[in-house]
Amino acid sequence: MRTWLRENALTLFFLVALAGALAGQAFSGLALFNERQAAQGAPPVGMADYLTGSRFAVDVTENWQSEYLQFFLFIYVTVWLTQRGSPESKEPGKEGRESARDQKVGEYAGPESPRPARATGLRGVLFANSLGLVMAAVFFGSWAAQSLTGWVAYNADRLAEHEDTVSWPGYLGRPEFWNRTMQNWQSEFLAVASMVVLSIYLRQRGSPESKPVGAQHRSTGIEG
Amino acid sequence: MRCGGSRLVVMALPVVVVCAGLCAGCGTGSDKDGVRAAANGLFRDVRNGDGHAACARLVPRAASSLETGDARCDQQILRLGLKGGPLGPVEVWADQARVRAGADTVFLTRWGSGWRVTAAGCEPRDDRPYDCDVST
Repeated sequence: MRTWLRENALTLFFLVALAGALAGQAFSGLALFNERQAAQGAPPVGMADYLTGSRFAVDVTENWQSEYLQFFLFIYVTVWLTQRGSPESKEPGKEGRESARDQKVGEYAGPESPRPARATGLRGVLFANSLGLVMAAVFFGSWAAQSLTGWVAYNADRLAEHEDTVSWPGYLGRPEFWNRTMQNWQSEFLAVASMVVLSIYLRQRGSPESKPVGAQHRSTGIEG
Repeated sequence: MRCGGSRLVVMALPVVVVCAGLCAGCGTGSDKDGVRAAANGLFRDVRNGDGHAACARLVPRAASSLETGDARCDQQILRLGLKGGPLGPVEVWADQARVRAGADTVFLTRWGSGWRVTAAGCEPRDDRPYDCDVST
């Protein structure tokens, strides 16, 4: 058990952090919603009603889609683009999908390689791109979810203002949808650009996300 | 417990959140019945000359919007000529709803386990909020 915990500590830490942050969002979001209810003289709503409502759902999904977009883009773009000195990048000159030998696929797969790495055809292609594909699928799924739950919340706001509701395609053309989307995207792109550039010149001893403390600034693709 | 189980939970979370959000937005049959009952009740109370009961169906802000100077809600609401009519389809979006009653449109909000009227006697205007006899 201890060994299992140690070997999975990173995943477990972030799953626990996710649960804690989601709980924090739920309690603070409910308190905010009930503040507005009280201002209108309306009775407060319960946690179950708030958690199953579109306003909580759109707040969750708009953040999720941008996080998965960040990783999906980072995974794909780093195949083709490099940054001299960044541990997040390959060496300049290695742009592209690389050779079967370098990637240990097909006939170059070793005895300890996952079985799909030996596969050819569609199965092999799917496995070779599975990380990016899953990130992309979760991104598009979360973005679609944001659009649907945001549409419900937006129409509720319009009815509260005594205005007509809009169709789903109509919502996709509204500033509300794009403002929610872009304000999340810009922060993700800033975070990635910061990580790529700062990791050239700064170090975090012991972190695999950083180069070793004594590594040259120009060293690329080395993780500590 | 295997790590794959944790991953499954993470992958399933978006589906749960979206289903919950969308189901809440659809409006159940009982939601629509509650909206119809609240809208019908308002017009019935006005027809019966029961201003107190009619005002009790409004949210506080809508009721107080009728109280200017010495005018009281229970008197004013009977002077607005709210007629209503056969109810059209009910739209429920999260905690807000709208229903047409003859030529009038009524807007409602969820209020505890029921519904209350936020605006009544409303007519649409191009690209602007409805023009309402009673509003918040």
